[in-house]
Amino acid sequence: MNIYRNVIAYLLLGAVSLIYIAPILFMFVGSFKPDENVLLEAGSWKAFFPESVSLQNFFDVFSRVNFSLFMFNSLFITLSIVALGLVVNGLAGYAFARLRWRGRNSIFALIIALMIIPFEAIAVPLFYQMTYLGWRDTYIVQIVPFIVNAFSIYLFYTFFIGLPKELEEAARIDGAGSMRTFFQIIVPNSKPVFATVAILTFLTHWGSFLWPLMVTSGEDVRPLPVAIAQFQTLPPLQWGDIMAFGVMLVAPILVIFLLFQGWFIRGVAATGIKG
Amino acid sequence: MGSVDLRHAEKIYNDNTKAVDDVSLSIPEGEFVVFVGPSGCGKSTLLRLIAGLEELSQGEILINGVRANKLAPQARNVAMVFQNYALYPHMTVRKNLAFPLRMSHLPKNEIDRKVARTASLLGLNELLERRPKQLSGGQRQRVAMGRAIVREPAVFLMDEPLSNLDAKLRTQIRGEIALLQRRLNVTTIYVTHDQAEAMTLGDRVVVMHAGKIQQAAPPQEIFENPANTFVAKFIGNPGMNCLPATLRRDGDGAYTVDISGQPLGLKQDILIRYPRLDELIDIPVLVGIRPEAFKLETDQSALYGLTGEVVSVEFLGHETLVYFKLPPPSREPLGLSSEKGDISTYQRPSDENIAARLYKRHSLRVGDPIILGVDTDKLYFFHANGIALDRQ
Repeated sequence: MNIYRNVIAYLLLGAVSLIYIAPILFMFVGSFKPDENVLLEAGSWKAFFPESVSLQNFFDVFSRVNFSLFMFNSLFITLSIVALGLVVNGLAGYAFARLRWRGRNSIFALIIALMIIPFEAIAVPLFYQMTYLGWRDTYIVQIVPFIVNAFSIYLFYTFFIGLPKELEEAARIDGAGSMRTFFQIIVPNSKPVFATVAILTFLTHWGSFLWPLMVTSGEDVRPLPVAIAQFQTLPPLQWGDIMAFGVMLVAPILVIFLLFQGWFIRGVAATGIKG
Repeated sequence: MGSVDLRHAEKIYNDNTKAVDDVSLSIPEGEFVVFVGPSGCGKSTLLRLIAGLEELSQGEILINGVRANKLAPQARNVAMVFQNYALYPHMTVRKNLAFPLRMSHLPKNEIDRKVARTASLLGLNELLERRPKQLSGGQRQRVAMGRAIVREPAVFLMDEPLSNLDAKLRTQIRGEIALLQRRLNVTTIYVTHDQAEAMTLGDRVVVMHAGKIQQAAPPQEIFENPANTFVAKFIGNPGMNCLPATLRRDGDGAYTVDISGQPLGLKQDILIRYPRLDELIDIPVLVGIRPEAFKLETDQSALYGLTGEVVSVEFLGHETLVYFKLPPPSREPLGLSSEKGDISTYQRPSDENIAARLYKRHSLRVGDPIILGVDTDKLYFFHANGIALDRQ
């Protein structure tokens, strides 16, 4: 009975996962096919199994657009947000979890409340603010507004509050100040939460589209998601090239996830993130 | 070495909880003082106030004669051993030991020398490259001690450092701590709820309750001359039985103490030990009887005995603890109040189980009637508010 139940469960799970995997597989396989075959074979099993493998589409992408620049822009912007976010949100989470100061609870409640506001709701006022500051078409405009993140602060707070307080007290008695305690004692013992926040932040901003589209008009500082949208409109329409562009857009995410998945899972367990 | 002086120290939390209440205590250089008391009595808070981990609400703390109220923990020259050791999990034993020295910006060769010396003092040489999670409980405890020693602080503060160890290891390390303290002769303040630790380690034991010091004295003094019923009940295992009673003197000048309607004759020489006993005649008092002061009587008409009913029996091998209750009194004892703030809490004797320690094996069973003789030379007298009557 149990075996049947397991078989049914696995079949169902397999079918559902196919729905998720199919487009990715379609893109991956398509990137190695000649342009004309991509749509031609879309309706058959050949969509997922290439008859021949060619890297021509990848070379085409590099020859048609400045892909290296877009990749650099995406990496620079996303990694800057991740790195600065870890420092700023980590320190903020620590301050809320451990330091005693007037108004701490009220401000923390306010930050938690900010999590419910969708970015789209503030995009236009933020756009005007950035325009006023003269930051449009820069890296700064794509980095600074996203360094502080309420959800990241909340994740850090949840993790730090669970760390034994005695560690910090021992460090204080041993002669370490707040910053040294944070960087030398807290950070090394909080790798899971730093990895979780880093991965979540990377995923969020790697695929960011709306804001870069609003604030960039030239190619110089444009990241990959906006570039691929523009690439799609670039004649001639070549689906093999678009698929190759897509593969190169997704690859860093997969690499990062595979490298840090152990930390990520530990962090998810430690901070209690669901879904 | 350093001295610690507490002057009217108070700690009141934001919710108005008074954790430490007007504590004054002077700890000279080199003394081993143990704060002992039940959970929530304020002993750990007091230690944390000395460490600088909590801020005083009132009063003063002087370390080596210097006012330390506003000094940061690192500026107080104290070292602390925590209950859970608080070793830095990501550092090896060597780095754990070196951390406080690095914070003091000592030169590297000096750090290496001090770490090596501490490691050999505590037998940690083989463990220097291990991380805390690779150590046993006893080893972790030793590393925590090492981290405190390595700085050569003025004062050691220890917050229940043995409570995470099993009984055997606890006894072993207790001995090691005592030996180490004598060897280093560093002022040590040790917090525990375990009276055995307090009595065996401390040059002086400070018994605390409800944020106040109940008594601060050498262990033997605490046991033999408890300042009040709280100390009497807390020290000793089981603690002293404190029973409401009435003291009477007949026409011939013979003293009798009436416990739940059972008269207990006192010897005339009681006045030598309690010259002011007459002050308590015919007023409510509390009589203290240590469990050791009982012996099983076979003679039904024993002059110095109490009759009761066995409530429970604990056979411990070399001794038997018998808990019994007295029958309800034929008349109420003189009204003992249970005013707020009193150390004693009034209980009718018949409601409170009395503990007796018997050294022979006995076949007593629950519900059996029992007659226990009382060594009246070992009786204690307390005022109705729990304060001990002056004793010679």
